[in-house]
Amino acid sequence: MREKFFSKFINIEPEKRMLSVCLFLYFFLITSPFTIIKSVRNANFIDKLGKNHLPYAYLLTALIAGIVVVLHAKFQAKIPKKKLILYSLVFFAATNIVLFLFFFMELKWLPLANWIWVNILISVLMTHFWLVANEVFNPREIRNIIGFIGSGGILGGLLGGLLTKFAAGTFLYDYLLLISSVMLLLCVVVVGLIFKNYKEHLSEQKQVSAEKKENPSMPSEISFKTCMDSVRKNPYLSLMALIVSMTFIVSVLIDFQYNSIVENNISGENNLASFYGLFNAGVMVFAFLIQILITGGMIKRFGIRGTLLFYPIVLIFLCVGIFFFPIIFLAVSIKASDKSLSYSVNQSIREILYIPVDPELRYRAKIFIDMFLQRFARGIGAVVAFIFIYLQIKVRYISLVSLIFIIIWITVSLKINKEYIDVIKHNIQRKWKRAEKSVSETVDLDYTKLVFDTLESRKKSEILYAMHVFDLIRQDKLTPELERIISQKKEEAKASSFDALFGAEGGSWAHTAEDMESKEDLKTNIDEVMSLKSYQELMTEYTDKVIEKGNETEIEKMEVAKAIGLMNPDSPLVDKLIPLIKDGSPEISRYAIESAAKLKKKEFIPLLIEKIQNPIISEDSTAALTKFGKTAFPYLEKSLNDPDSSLPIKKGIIKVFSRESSQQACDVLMKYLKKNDVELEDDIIDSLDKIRSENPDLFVDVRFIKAYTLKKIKRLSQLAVIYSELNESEKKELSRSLRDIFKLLGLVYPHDDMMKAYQNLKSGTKNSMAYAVELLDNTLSKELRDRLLPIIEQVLP
Amino acid sequence: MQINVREKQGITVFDIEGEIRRSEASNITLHRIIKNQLDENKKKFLLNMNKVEFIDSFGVGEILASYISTQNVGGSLKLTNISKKLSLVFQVTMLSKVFEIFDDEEKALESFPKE
Repeated sequence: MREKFFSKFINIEPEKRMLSVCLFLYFFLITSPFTIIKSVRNANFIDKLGKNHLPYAYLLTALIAGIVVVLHAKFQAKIPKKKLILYSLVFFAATNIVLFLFFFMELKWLPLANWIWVNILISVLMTHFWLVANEVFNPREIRNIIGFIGSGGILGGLLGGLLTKFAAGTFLYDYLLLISSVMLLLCVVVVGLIFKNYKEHLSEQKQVSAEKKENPSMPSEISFKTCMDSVRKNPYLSLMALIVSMTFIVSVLIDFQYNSIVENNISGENNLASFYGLFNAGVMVFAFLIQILITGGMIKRFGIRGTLLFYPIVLIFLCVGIFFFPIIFLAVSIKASDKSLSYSVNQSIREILYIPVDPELRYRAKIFIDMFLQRFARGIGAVVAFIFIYLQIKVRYISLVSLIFIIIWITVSLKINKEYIDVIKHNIQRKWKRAEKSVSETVDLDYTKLVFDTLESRKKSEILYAMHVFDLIRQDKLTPELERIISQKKEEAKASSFDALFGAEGGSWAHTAEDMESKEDLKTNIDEVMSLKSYQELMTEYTDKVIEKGNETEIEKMEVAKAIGLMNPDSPLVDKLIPLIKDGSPEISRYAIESAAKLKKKEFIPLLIEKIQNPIISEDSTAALTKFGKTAFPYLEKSLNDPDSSLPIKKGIIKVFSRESSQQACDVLMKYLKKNDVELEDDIIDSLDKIRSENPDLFVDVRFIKAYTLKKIKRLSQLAVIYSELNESEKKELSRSLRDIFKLLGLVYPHDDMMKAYQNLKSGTKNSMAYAVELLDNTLSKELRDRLLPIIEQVLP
Repeated sequence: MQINVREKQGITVFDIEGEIRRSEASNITLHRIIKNQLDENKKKFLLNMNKVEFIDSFGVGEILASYISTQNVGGSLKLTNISKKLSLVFQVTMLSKVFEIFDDEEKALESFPKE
């Protein structure tokens, strides 16, 4: 029962549920006193000083916020985080009590001092709260939990607002500040508990940091300048700072507009306190409902970008409305929308945007943005308000200025979404890459084969060995090192006359000019001999005899097969390769296949395709067919689509296409994929993945691949639901399908991103897995995302 | 060619004996065996070549194909105890740049990343 309740409201792993409850209480216990103090402050300020003094309050707050950041940085450098947070709570509780005492003295400067003090209180306490929340949760967790902990803050605000409303006009009103101090002291206990839990998650955070590259440019000292530089030098944080600035400038303009209209309609401190208390409570109810009913779903449905745009778009409509009808209903509506969306949707999305930032950088950025920049932006808003007061411009025209800032806000919001994905990508690394390309870039496979064949040929026959050495010479690949190796006489039964080229003792053949010349002579001489008509006739006669003899002439057949490959493609001997390719001996067939690849005659292609099904020479056949390039494509495609072709042949053909790695090869494979051949699905998908990894600009039928992937995901989701009941082989099958799905996704989305996501989900840390899911969440189409993410959460560890 | 498979420190060690060559090959090739192991979710392989007398181009192809298949699923395949002559050939053909080759088994086993 309890488990069901928790999993419904706190969608997080059990060991972090208590921590979530503590954070809920922490947020509740700072917003509740804040709302009380703020309502009292607003009523006191408007009643005693009037709305025209508000811009002074905003400006002074901005100035003092800068000083607070400097002081905070100094304390932060000397005091551990836990103590800093606890001392701050005690400090604000104590100063609140002092203010409570001052209120009885009717001091003239008090409303202004109180205004600034409340702003400082909330910015420090909020910054501390979100720093803790961001450190103990990863992006996935914060997405799941933000609705819950955010509602703690909203409920706190609701309680504070209602308390103020009902206390207004009673004796309790004078004691509200005292009550709020008690709440702040209660918060000290909750923070103590959180740090007890937080320690358990500290090791995980270290792991995250270790995963990321060290940032040597980041200074160890924390000062106002270093905090500002951290934001200024980071494009992502700069965009965040710009969004926050726009939000708060607009917020001040709305606040000024709202207070001006309220002042014109309501008078008297008690009436104002009651109104503000009721309004703040109402806003919190509204914010709570948005947080519970809309925020989570909106983030899930519309992603970061959609959610970021919701708040400014709502304000655009209300700004236009208030410009035409500056009535109290619209003033309350715009202020209520601003506040409630700010506490719910905007607060949540802003904290999500902070998550992928490196913890240390985030710490500095939050201090600058949340503690200073917010107030500074309010200062800019205040300057605009001053201009309106000074020039006696009607309040409705503030809407026009607000609209300009909202448009900038929307533009930056559109840009930050892309940056967010980039930051997520930066947080996860590719764990491995396909090896085909790196191997072929490092090793010359033809040369390697020739070297090993040369070594082997010494054991077989002097002629075969000589032909291999000649092949090396002809390709200018007989290096001094290789000479030393292949001329070693140890273990060799038959010495070769070619050894003479390497010196009497089999040592290295010194590469003098004379030697080079003799190599060139040798090439010319042999080529000339091979092109002689009489040689061709003699060899044809000899070859016929060898082929006729049968099994007892295996070595001779190998020699002939190799020799034909060294000849001109127009030689009449070339046709003799056909029986040699067909030969039952893999050794003979292999030499003939190799020669066929050199001569590239079309008539060999069907034979080579046939030979794929022999596992011992399958690789030789596929390598030879690859050398034919596009010439072989029609034959290969025909065999691939031929129902009579065996499975090994089809698999080999797919391998040839994957090695060709071209758009044409991709098109053939795509066409075959549409046939839904279950037996070859894995091979086709793997080959397409290989081609895509080497050609990121490859064109694929996106619509088909998406539909195909979706079909596969749907099939998989049926198995994923009963995952715990599956046997080992079914689980393996499911894992293979999931791998194929990511390969398919890599065809339509950035390949590297999909591989990063898959590899980190498969073998990453808890945090890198969370980033991988976040990357998918922000990259895939809604349909794919909604179906794939639940499977991942069920299947992967 | 004979292949004995054993597990040591979570790594699958293949003790290969004889010659890895085309004429000795059966339908169950080294690459096939490695692929079967990969299907079993094993991803760390060590080829102990102590008793390997000879490799031909087919053998090299088998080792390379096994290496590629292993790498493509995030695993690792390493070699140990290869003969001096083979080591030279590996250097000349740049295969030593692709494979991690160790002088003895213990060092090779230690080099695999710990889970």
